Amino acid sequence: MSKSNDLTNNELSYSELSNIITHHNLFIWKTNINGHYSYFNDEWINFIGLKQNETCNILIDLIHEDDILTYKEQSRDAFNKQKDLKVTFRIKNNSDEYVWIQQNGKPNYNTDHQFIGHIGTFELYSKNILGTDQAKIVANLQRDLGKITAKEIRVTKELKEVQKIASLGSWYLNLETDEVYWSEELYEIFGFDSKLPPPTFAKQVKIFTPDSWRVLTKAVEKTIKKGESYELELETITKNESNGWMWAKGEAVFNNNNTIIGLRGIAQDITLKKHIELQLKNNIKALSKNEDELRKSNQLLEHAGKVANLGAWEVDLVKNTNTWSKTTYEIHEVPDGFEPHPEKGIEFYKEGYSRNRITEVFTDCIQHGISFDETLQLITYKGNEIWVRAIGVPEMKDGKCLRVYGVFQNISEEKAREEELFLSSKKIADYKYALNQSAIVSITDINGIITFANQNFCDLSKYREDELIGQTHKIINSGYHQKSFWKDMWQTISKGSDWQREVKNKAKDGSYYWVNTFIIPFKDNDGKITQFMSLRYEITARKEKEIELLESNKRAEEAQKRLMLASNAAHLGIWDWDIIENDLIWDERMYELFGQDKNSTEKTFELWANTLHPDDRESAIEEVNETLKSSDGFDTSFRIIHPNGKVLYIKADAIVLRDKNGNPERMIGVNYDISELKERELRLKAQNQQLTDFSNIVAHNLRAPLVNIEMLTEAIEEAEDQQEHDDYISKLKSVIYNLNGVFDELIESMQVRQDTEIENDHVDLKERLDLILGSFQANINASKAIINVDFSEVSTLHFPVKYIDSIFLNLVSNALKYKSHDRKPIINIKTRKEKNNSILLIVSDNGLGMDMKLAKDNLFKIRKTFHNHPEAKGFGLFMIKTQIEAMQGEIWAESEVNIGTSFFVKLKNPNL
Amino acid sequence: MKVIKNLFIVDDDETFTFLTVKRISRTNLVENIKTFQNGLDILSYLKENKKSTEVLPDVILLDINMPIMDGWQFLERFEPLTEELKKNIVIYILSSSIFPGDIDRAKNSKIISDFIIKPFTDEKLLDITKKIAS
Repeated sequence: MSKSNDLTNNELSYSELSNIITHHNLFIWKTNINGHYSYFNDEWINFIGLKQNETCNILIDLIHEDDILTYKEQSRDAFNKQKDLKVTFRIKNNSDEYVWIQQNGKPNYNTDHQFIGHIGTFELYSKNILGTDQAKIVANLQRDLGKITAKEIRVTKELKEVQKIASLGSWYLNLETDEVYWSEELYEIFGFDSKLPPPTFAKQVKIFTPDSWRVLTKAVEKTIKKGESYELELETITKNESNGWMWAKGEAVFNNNNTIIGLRGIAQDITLKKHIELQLKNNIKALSKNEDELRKSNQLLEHAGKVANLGAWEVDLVKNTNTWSKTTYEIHEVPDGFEPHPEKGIEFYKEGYSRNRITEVFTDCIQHGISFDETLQLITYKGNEIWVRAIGVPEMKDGKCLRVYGVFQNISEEKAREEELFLSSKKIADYKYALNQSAIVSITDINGIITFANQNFCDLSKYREDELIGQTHKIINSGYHQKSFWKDMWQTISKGSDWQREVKNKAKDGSYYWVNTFIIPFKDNDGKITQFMSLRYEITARKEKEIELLESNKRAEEAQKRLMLASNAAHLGIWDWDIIENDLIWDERMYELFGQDKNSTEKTFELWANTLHPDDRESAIEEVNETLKSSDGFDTSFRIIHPNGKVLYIKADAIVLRDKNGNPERMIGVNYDISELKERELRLKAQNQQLTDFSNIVAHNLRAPLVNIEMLTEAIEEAEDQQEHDDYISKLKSVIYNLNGVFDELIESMQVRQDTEIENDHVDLKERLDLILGSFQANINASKAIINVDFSEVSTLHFPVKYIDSIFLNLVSNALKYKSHDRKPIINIKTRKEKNNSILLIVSDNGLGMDMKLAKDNLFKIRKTFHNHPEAKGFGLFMIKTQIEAMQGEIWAESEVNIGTSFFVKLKNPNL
Repeated sequence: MKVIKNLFIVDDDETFTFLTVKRISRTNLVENIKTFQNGLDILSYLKENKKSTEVLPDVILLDINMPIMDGWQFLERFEPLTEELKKNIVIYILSSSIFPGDIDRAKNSKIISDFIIKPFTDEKLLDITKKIAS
């Protein structure tokens, strides 16, 4: 792989990768060669709540049943064809909630390019199209993504900082291809042009001095063969031909089969440090020749030592004494008055390797005159464990060692930083790997010219790398965002701040994709921006769903508005009954319709049942129950008694929603007031009845006299003598008179019906009744009739005075006319207050009475009489019924032969 | 030749019955003609004379629109009485009504032979006599 195609060539072992990814809150899975899950990372195990003893394959049991088929098909397909896997499904998490997961995977191969299974990630994926939790889920996702990316940004920045400070470079050697990767810093260390590919390992011979190259190749060989890591200081020949020093640490990279497939390491320029050290070493050598000078130089050393934390020491083998410089005392953390001694000095080294090694090299030094330079661990007097560098130089005379001089340096901090650097460099390399694998990465210069684009970028944008390099990101501009959007971006990143937005891009083939984009400016030591790095995550699917959802929400909202409008206009009450929870929800209209308080604590179903008209209650509830049992819904009507006393006709439509087994889950319905309609229907019925009555009148009461006239004229023509002729003429006159009467009555009744606009008068009942009774006074006196009047409950009403007069006139007249001859007539006239703003007027007598079985059908019909009374005309009751009904009232009668008759007049009187 | 022995007219319209009786008498087809004012009158007569075939009618011409008991109410009460009557009585509705409701109701009744619209003519009487004879 060439340098610019990847941020890092590090091939991490699986366990390492999963380690990193754990910190990303990413979920990792791996399948074996048989397509079975062989690994989940702990995050995922926690997320889905797997128990220790449960195998990975339990996963299938946690997938939503609606998604299992898709899941199985897709994963089988990916396995069979050894291709990429991308499948979305719902899975039960550890809280037993279903969440949407996108599973991504790639086929995994070993070094022999044999397929060994799949490896990939699970991503929390927002696809909840049920709506309610959508916003929450998207927000959570956004937040999680933000967290991950923020972490990556922070780490990337840390790396930059660390690398800048430490001139720490990293490298990677792929043993299979012999390809080498160098980080920017490494180029800098060697003064190489970073635009060129790094030299192969073999070519690196030029970089090092022959000695160092020998040491390095030996170490590398060992690493390749045995997997041992190394840590070396190497002398380098840089381009400007002055020698330098490099600290190098390397280790082997293993694949899953524990085969070494590469080497990686970090390197640091330590030339400056080395120069100081060598200088010191030389000084020591020079100074050590003279004791006095040494002592003098000690002061110098102290001074220098303070800077480098260097101490000096001397072991006089002749006198068997040990001399320490002040810094050496300090490094050992010994109390005042401590007497150094050669043996005591060695006892400070940590038991084990450090003590053994110092003993060994010190012995070598004394016996063979070999100087030493060791980095070892020391336990101070106070018990602190520190790293020190101990350099010892022997002074030989006649093959015998007289003295050993040396420097002593506390390098704990350095060591710690080294360790930290190595670790962080490794961590960062890992992050880079993860980033490069998971994200779409590009780097631009300060003018926005692309200098780097990773494979993901190329894959998604469908541009080749060489098509992207040298271009700006305008190449993938979709034109979707406004100019201000990009202006904001430039303003933000130019100030050195991070910028994050969801961006719609256009690929080379004209297709669009959405990416969550992070732009991070990188700065040099002076805080000047040197380049911009973009991290992107593809969110096309989510975004499309989001947009779709937004649109469908909008549509739903519009539909809701339209429904509101419609339901308001039509006075529709809507209800929704969750049968399982037995929760009946009414909308505001329902409460209005039923005249109930919205805040009522009573169960809605009870409210409904209690408001029903008693006559309809049982059947309405029965209908609901029947519908639940076996039907898809109902379309019915019933009456309710509104709390204001009005009886309302309610039309009710409902549908039942059932589960797979046909059990009812929900019932949704509308109710609306059809009272007006019903009233009109009733009125229409009444009018139809009136029309029928009228037809009857025409058929019987008008046609009958006409037939007579016809027959009489024929008879007149055929009359045999004058007497007969005259007889017929007089009969004809009587028929015509009768016919005239019928006509007059008909016209009068029709006027009542047409006179729909007749105005209500304020009527004093007593006053009107007295007037009528006055006109019957002679009759009353003659029959000695007793009239009892009780208007105490209702004494006045709003009604046409003409009709009231007519009602009193006809009912009193009937009572007097059909009096019993056996007893004194008693007529009771009273009013009663009824429910629903109605009043009842009752006129009862103790007269002849009627056989109601015979009279009921015809009592109020025109020209119907029920007594063989000479004055019975059969018009009065017909007339007042017409008048009462014209005012939406009712009239009926109860009667028993020879006991009496009661007439009941029910009048609406809302203005009472 | 007298074809019909007893013919009863039930109608409260005195002018009409007067003229109709006169007209029927002229034909000599009917031996006895009797008139009743309303349903109740004839019902009482029939109840009183249910065993006497001599005085029971062969034909009744029944008006609908009458006081006290109209034609329909009479028919309701007449039907349960037929079994007790010693004679099979033929009933015709004779009405001024040309109201389809009335005609339909008559057509649907088993005990009504036909619906005759007033006036009652000689032709209509002949039709009845033909039916009675056959």
